[in-house]
Amino acid sequence: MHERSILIVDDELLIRDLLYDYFNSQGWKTAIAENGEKALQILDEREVDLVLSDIRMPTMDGLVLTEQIKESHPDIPVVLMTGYPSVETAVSALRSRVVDYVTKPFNINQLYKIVEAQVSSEEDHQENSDE
Amino acid sequence: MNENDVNILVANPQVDETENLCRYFTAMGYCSFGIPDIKSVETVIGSDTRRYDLAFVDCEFLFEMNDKLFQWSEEYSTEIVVMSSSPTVESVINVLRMGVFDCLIRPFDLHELSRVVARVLERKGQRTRHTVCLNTGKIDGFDVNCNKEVVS
Repeated sequence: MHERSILIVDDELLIRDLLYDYFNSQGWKTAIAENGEKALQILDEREVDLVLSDIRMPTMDGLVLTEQIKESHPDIPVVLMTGYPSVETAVSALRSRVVDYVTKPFNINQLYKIVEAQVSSEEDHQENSDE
Repeated sequence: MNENDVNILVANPQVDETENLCRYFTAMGYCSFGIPDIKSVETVIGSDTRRYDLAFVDCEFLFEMNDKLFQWSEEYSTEIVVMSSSPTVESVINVLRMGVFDCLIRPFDLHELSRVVARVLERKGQRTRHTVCLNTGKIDGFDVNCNKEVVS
């Protein structure tokens, strides 16, 4: 069976560690990046099923990162998370075609369900197009 | 109407705004149809076999019709653009999860409308008809006050 993989992007070490440990414990291949530039570098080097990124980060925010991912890797779904939710960033996220927008503090089980559902849906879609 | 026409549905209880939007879309060279009440929306979804490229839907209608509307939009490949007067973060997250193409917050200007239509048609691989009109800065009496690089 295909090993699921996720790239977690957050400038907060605590969140990165929490999510890294959780997804690893669920059997996911997990990569982490502390900023957008590092995230793009990782995406160029390995295959990732989904990107889970914070919005507010120094140098490159999650919305800019999403735009760049959509240009270079248009098929990778992106879930954004933020501790500073606003209508403006939610609308920008919608326009960037992210698959979800999650507010912090989040329930990690619920966040996992969102990510898992997206990746499953992509897998189903992929299987259907392969048939 | 022929199959190359761009059809736009406006489902909105605000009659004046619906009329203005339809007038604007018509002036841009598109076929537009305005429906002001939920019953008419149900009729269109239930029995109108016309293919709409995009539907501008007031959020009140969107939340009321929800599943039916999205089944219809999937069947006819119609992109849905929601219009809202006072959105909250939660309502925007809801429409994002529903899969709407865009969310316009009132008051919006004609540039925003043009951009949305252009983005939808670009995604569908159709050329926008109002390019020339935008470059002149006016569309049949509407002061577009255009940004020329918006539409390709």
